[in-house]
Order: sequence, then C-alpha cells, then structure tokens
Amino acid sequence: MAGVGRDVHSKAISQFSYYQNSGNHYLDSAATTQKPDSVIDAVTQGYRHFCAPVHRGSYPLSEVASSAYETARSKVAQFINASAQQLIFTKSCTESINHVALGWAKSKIKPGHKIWISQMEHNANYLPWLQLCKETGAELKIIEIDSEGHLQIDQTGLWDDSTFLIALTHCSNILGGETPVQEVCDKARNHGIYTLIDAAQSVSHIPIDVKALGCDFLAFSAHKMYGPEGIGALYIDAQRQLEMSPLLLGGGSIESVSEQQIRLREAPHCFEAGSPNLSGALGFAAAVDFLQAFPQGAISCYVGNLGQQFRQALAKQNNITLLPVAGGGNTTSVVSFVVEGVHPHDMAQTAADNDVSIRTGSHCSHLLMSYLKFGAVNRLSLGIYNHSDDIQPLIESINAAADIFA
Amino acid sequence: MSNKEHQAILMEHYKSPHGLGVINEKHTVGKGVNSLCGDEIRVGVVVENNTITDIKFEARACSICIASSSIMTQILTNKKTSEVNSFYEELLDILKKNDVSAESHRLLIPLSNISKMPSRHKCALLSWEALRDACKL
Repeated sequence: MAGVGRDVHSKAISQFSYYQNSGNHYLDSAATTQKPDSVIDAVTQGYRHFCAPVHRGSYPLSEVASSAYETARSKVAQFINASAQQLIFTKSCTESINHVALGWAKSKIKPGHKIWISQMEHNANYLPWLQLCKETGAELKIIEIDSEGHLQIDQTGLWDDSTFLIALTHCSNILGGETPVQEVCDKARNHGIYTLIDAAQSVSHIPIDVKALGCDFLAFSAHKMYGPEGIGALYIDAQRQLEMSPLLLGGGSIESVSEQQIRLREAPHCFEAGSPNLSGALGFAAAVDFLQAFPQGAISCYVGNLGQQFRQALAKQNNITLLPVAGGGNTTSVVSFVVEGVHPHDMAQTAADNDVSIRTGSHCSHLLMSYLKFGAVNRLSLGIYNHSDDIQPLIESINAAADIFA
Repeated sequence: MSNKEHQAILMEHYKSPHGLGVINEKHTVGKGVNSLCGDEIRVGVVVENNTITDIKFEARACSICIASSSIMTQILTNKKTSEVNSFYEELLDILKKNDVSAESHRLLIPLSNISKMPSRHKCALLSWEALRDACKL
C-alpha cells in the first residue's frame, strides 16, 4: 500500500507548477485544491481556440465551442456514472443545492413535512433548507452525531412518513471521513424519502456512482477536485428532473417564446439560462481526466492514509484536542484540532509564518461548531500533492505557537 | 520602534490585558462577532456626563483582538464619547493604510504590525466596533 501511495504522489506532484517554485506546505484543499497544469491549460486553450458563444452561433467556431462544452458535460457526468442529460452545470456546489431547494423542493414540500440534515453540514447544505422550511411551514430536523463521529441514522423520527427529504454531506468539511450515504439512500428509497448528497468534499478522492447510490440529487464543484473556480454540477434523477423548474430564465433555456408563453428546452439546457461557462467546463473535464489517470481508489487510499499519519502525529502532542472523524476511524482527508491555550487564529498565523497553510475559523459549519462548543478550530485538509514531509513543519508550528501564546 | 518591539507590546497586552473583566448592570453593552472565526466580544461602558468613566470587556477571541481591546480601554477611559470616532478612524488608517506618523497615538502604533495582515484587521477592530455599538455611535 505504501508503494501505491508513493506512486500516486510522485505521479501527481510533477503536474503542479505551483510546487516547482514553492516551499509552502498547502494544507487547505478542502477549501480549494491547487490546479494541475492540464486544468490550467484546458482553461486557457478554451479561450485561445474555442472562444465563441455556446449553443448560440451558426458558424464553425461556435459549433466547436458548443461541441467542446457538451463533451465536457458528458465527461463530468460519466465521472459519477450519470448520463449527460442528468447533469447540469451551475456556478458552485452551493448553487446546485439552492437549485434543488428553490427549483424542486419548494413546489413539492407541504407544511408538516420534515427535511433532515446532519449536524455536520456546511452552511451551503443548511441555510437553503432552513429558509425553505421557514417559508413553507415544513420543519428542519438534525441527524445527530455521537462523540466518535458516527451519524445517528436510527434517530427517532428520521424514517417517519413525514420525512420528505434527507440532505446529507458525503464527507464533512471539518470532520472529514465518510458518512454512510449508501445505507441512507437505500433506506430512504424504501421509505419513499428523497435524498440529496453534498459531495463537495468527497468527489476529489472517493469514487461516486450515482446509479449504485440511488440518490435523487448529488451536488459538487470543480474547484475542490483540482478543477477551476466558478463552476459546479448537479446530478438530478430523471424523474426529479421532470418535477424541477429552472432557477433562472433567460437566453439559451427556451425552445420558443411569445408574448404570453414560454416553452422550455429539454434538460439539461432548460436549467442553464445565460451564457454557459465554457472555459470552466473545459477545466472541469480536464480535472476529471486528471483524476481518472490514477487507479480507482488509489487517491482515496493515499490521502486517507496520509490523514491518518497526520492524526497520529498530532495525537502524540500532549497539548492537542483532535476532533473525531466522521464515521469513526482514522482514515480521512481532513483533520481538525485545537491547541490548548492557543486561539485557532493565532495558531494559523504562526503556521503561516512558517509556510504552513492551515485554516482557522468556524468553516461555514455553525451547526457543528455549536454542537462541539468551539467558536473556532484549526483544520488541515489534504490533496494528492501533500506528503508526510508536510507533517513535521506543522508540528513545529504548533510548538512555536504554544511557546508564544500558551 | 521595530516590528519586533511592537509585537512584544501586543503580546504584553494579550498576556495581561487592561479592561478584561466582568461587565455588570452599570455598563451599557455592545457586542461584536467575527463570523469568519466565531470570535465574540462584549464591551461594557459606563458613561457619565458624556465621559467614558469605565470600560470592561469579555471575550472569546484571539491575541490581536484581546491586545487591541486592551489598548482601547487604556486610550478611551476618561475620554468624551465624542472622541471615540476619531480614535477609531485613526486605527482604521493605521490598519488599512499603515498610516503612522508623529501625531499617531503612541498606544495605537504597535497595531500597525497588523496592517500587512488584512485577514486580521477585523480582529483588531472587533472591540472598537462593539464599543461604538455600546455608545450608539
């Protein structure tokens, strides 16, 4: 396994120009990943060679741009084992989830219905549901976690007839690990409950097959899987797609229009009003190519084992509180911790002074912060370019911060 | 004075802050929250005849926020409420423009170390904004 890990890292690292000239230990891939040269090239090539309106021009350059855009869609869809028609491009994972809340759930949900989310959701998978419940008389319920990070999927009420939707993160942006999405989706389907999976943190390293998973919706974004900023994706089950309304109306989404009537195009185009993000789509597809060049499961194995090494190193320090890993266990791409007597902001600043980039704050996860009774925590999160060589500089930064502040 | 000396002064404020204490019913309270990091601060002021006679703060906050709060209580105790905004704006200039001159208040000058860290400006300003809230400025 160690050999596979070395292969993954050595194959990856040479593809990131950032690492040719930087001594920085970048440990913030849960926020955004560095981009391999192939992704950067795909974005710039798009502007150099295919710069024309997508689905709007009748001249050859526009045809090339349209074809490239749809090829990119097919590639991203195939990456999660969906058909191209089932995948819409959005600007982000956040927009994808909002699209489900406003374009689908809002017209179907009734007072008394319940939407369940987990205690470890990012605000992107919390606030849209909170707002929707306030507006519709539905109720937002929280699936709790225990002190070891296990999701309490046998919680009273979760599988009741009144449950309309379960919206669940696949991998917590603070606790890392993996939630039991397959078990939840299987059980939900048997109970007639809809499911949305937030795959923003998992899609970079955990293989996803929406057909096997059986979810109704799956949201993710490119920039956390080595792709460009500003483009996300939403998988929509074929039946749910028929029930869904576009979030935006405008150019490119209509078949015909008269003074009084709009006839929408077929999916996915009806959900993508406005000029499509061609360069983003090209970069997104290049990120898929980048990930698929590694053997299935190899990245998950590599970053998971590396996360475990970080946890073990931190656990040896007597001044650190480690947060649990979602789902229990130790293999994780995200490790969160607090250093005794050192405010997380001061810890992150000291690390930055030592060329170690870690995060501080509430990480847009106020539900979890409130449950854990922390105002803020430090978080390190790993990408394919990280290595066990990144551990010692972090430990030295922690020791330096403790010397200064504790 | 060097950055290192400024840093030493800020650390002294952090380790032994002025004004850190219990807010009671005599205080009018303002609150500050840094949504980025979850820091929270309460600043209580006693104002008599338009003069701030006492300032206390309670905080769950980082070293910069604590140090800035400590400096604030030193500067503004026994000052008129009408003077608060001019000190606040002086701090803003120090942080945003690194604008330090011979006229700068000597207690504010160490905070110029923060000017090169835009992500920490909010930390240095949090208690000042809470105090302005308390004074309804």
